[in-house]
Amino acid sequence: MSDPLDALEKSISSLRRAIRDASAAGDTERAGELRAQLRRAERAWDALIDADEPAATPARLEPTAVPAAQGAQLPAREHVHRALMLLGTPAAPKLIVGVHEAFFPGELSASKLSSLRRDEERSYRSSPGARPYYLCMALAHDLLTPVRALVTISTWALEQRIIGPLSPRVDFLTGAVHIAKAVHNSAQSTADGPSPAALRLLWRFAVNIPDALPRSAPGHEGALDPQQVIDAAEAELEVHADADRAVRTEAARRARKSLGDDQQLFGAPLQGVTRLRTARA
Amino acid sequence: MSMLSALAHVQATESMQAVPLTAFRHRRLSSRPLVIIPLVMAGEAGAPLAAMVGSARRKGTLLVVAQPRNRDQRFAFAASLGRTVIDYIDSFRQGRRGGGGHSRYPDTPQILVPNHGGIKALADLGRMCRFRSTSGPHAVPDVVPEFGMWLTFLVDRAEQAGTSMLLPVTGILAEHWATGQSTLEDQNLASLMAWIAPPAGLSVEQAMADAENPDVCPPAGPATSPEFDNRDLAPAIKRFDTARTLGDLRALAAAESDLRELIAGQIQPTWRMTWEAIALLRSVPEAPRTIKRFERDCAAFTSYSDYRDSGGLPQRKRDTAIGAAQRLGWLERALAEFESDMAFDDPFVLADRRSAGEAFAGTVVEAEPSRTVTTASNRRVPRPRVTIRTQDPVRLAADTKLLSPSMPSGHKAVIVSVLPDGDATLVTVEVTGGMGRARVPARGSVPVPDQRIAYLPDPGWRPAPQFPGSDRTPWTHSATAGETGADPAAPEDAAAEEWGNED
Amino acid sequence: MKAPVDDRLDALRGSAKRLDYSARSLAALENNPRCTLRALLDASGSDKAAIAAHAGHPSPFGQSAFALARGNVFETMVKDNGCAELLRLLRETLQLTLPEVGYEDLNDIGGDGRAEVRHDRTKQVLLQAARGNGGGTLFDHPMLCLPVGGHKAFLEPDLVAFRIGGRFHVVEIKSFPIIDGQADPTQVRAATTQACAYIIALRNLLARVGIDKQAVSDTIVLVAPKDFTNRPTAAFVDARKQVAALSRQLARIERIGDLVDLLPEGLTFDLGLDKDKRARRPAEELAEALDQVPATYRPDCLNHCEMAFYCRSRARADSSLDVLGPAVREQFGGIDTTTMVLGLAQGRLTPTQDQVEMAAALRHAARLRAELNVLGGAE
Ligand code: SF4
Repeated sequence: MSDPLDALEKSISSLRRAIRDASAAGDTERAGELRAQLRRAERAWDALIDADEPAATPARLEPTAVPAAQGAQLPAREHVHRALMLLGTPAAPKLIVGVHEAFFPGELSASKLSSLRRDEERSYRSSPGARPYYLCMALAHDLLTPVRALVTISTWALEQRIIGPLSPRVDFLTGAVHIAKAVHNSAQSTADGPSPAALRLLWRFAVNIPDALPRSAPGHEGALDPQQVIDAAEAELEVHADADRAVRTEAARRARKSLGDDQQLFGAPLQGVTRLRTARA
Repeated sequence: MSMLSALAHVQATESMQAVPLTAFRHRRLSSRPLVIIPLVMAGEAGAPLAAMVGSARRKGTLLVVAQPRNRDQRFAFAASLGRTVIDYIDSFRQGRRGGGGHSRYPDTPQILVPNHGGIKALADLGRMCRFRSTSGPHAVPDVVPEFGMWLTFLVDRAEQAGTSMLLPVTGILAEHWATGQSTLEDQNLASLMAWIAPPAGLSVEQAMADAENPDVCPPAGPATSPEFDNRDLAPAIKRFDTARTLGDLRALAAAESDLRELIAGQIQPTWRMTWEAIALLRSVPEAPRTIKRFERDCAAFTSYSDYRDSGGLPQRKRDTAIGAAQRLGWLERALAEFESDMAFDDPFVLADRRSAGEAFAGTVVEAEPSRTVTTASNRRVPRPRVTIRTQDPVRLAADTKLLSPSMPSGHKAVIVSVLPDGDATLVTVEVTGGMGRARVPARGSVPVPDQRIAYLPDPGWRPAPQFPGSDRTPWTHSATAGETGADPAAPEDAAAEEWGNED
Repeated sequence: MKAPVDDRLDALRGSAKRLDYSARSLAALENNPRCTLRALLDASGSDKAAIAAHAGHPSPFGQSAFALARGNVFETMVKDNGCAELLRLLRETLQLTLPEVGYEDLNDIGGDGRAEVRHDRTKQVLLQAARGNGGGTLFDHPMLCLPVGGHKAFLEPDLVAFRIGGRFHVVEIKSFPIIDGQADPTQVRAATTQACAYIIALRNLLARVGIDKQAVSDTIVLVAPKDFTNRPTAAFVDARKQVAALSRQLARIERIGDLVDLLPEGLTFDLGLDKDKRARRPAEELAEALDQVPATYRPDCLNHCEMAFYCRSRARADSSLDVLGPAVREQFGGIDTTTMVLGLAQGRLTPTQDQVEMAAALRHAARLRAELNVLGGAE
């Protein structure tokens, strides 16, 4: 029954049977309801035949050309670059979009980002070094393979782009510090202060850092104190920083030794666990 | 369940049609009930998708949330459903009778939903709405919290046996008919109706099969069928979202009307069937004692209504330990009383309890009508004894207090002994009340030999609880002003809003 | 397990690809432990949904895309940004200390998502942690493996957290809400049962290197949305009873041979798939084969088992009281069919020695109903 056409055909035939029954009994209201269902099922059937593809899952309609809003003149990669530079850590597309929306004008979507990443690698390989920077991968500390879903910038030090066991937390705290600083700056320098999106972003970081929220304040983004967030994040960073740096430094050294330039940017080829065993031995 | 009801289910299986479990309808049916068919989105907590609402079969209003994950649309929906419900409730807040602190509205609202899931959906909606703030950054219209508090009141009240301000139609039907299927299947309105009143021209078998086929009988909710979700609803919501992102007004209108049409197709059959079930239930005569319970509903409604007028706070999120224990006590008493009322009114229910040994009926074989005893205060009072021979498997012990539907009201008795007599049982009872004030019992107040008589346990007299449920609880028992429903460290609103926009 | 038993099980399944046990199907063992049909279908790795459909009773289950999407979105959100939300919860509710933030992503190993590879790596890091020489605290989607009836079942918990009170804790991330501190008990129970399989598998892994089962807590951490928000909250769920129950069920599977021995020679549930994966075996023949195996249908099966519609129709055809559910059934202890109930009630059947009492009660009830029928009733 997994074939959606089969399923629809079955629906259609059971609806036809039910319509016959209802009409024979003179139940026009019910027959009318069933007829509407039948029309819908038949339309769905037609659509499937036309599409000529097994749409087991509902067809995805991506918003194709989203009209450019003001400030969107920059190409998407510039948006990403700017957001990452603000954060200063490897980040997942969702966070990049979040930072972008909080601090910069223009449209940037997560789906756009994933296609960007492929383009970057292609562009690098066709003419390495032709661009001032590339969006590239974060590397796993042990296998030096690309880490799922994290984006970095080629101009960063290798250490910054390595992900060890503690790095997700360290990067989260580092990101919190940078966002808090950005919020603080826009409070100082712009007339309207930080955008609601920026406050919300900071709040989402702050709730997950011990002592980053004012004790007495009601649950409200407006009550956030960026300096308190910075202090709290730095206090926890203190706990993890040394251990994390050691892993990253060691891995970076290994990467420089064993990986080519392109691999240092886009990760060692995926080879699975055999490599891992040797790497760990 | 008793042996007798179990047997009724077996008989229904054999005869392939529902078997009546009662002679009467033990639930009051308003002449103007408000039917609500709520639909929710699968996988989301309290995300309403649609509702059909109205107080007459031909006057159903369909409300649809085009993007259930969107917070604003959700509360817009709550506001419009809320307005309908509050208008309906308000129409009962008039014509108050009686004076002083005891005056009451003479009628109550009655909301009917298709099944228990419908009540759960309303409970969630009530919880979601009642703490919302009508000012500040995420303000909602005034009607939203008001609606939430009323819904919570109704849901709380519905937990109490015998009340009828909010009822699931499947529940009422199953109280009155036994089918040849399990309790689980009886929760499906279409399956239940297949047994009691199959669609014209269909056999029960075919109607049962259709009832479980979402193509022919869309589920009565609150969840829609997964096939519908995946095949029709998901793409339609997607089209709506796309149109909104693009700001394409024409496409937006088209997507919206398409969604409405889709959901109408799912909800309409349940709407029709719910009203059919109501008509069916109306044809069953109402049991005499229903009016007594209805009066309590009127009292509770009046009291909550006054509480609302005085600007009362929303109900707490959770009962305190004491509150919970008290509430449990009320619920248990209400249940005992409801069961007793039903048995008193209805020979079917009485027979049910007889088969379980919780009541008995038989013929008086011996009577001592002039027996008297001297009370502690040295007064001689009549205490006649009678012995009844019954075939029922009596499981009541000595000292059980009894009532009798076969005697004038006020008749009271207590069991003296229960002794086997061949394949029958002899129960001796002492009449303790309902004999008048004189030294000699009033005529007809003591059973006489050869009389057929039935007895059932007295659930015990108690004053009617004034404010059952959390509808009007003391201040100590209600949410405080500081506790507004938002976790102090986590603005619920911010999270909900963010949730709304993510996809 | 003896080879012949395996051969028999393979023969039962026939040409179709073997379906392994999953946390879901293991959890379902709890729901109807006494059912032979289900035990055999699962042990032989047969595709219950396909079999039920081909026998003319497609299973009642479908998953709404909305529910799936919501589940995924919520889990991702909990794990976003280095499990920031999760860490907060574990620190708040489970007193996880500040330095314990080490995160191991076991969703794939250097891009390799194969179960065996992930399992090897999981074993490696978990054992390191258990022996105290690894920094891991949060293990994201570890791949566990539990031998069930001589076959490997790969199991994948949402997350395993280490060193809360010095022990491993299974963390289940579910998208049903905890509203005002309360969640739907059915859903909690299902989540817990599923987590039990993880607990057992994790203990099994550690036991192989001599680490005591105490290293794995039998309290699971349930992470679910708080109220109607998208913010997670956490709760402990005591799974001790269910762990014990599931262990018993697993031990029964090891004795599947006893059940297999009772089957008629040559019995198979083969669908006769052709090269387009279309079932070619005549449906009646399949139904006949299924009918040879005892099933203990009960209405609850409708919530759990793909075979439910098939088994219900079979129970109906047998006039079994099971169709009416336990509440009715227990009134007629010792009687199996509606025919027998009515036969005794109407005095058409002579009761056996131990039915005498029941028969008397039934005749009494029947008399009462007969009196009532004269009265009419809600009709
Ligand atoms: S549905 Fe059938 S096979 Fe499945 S557990 Fe129930 S009785 Fe057994």
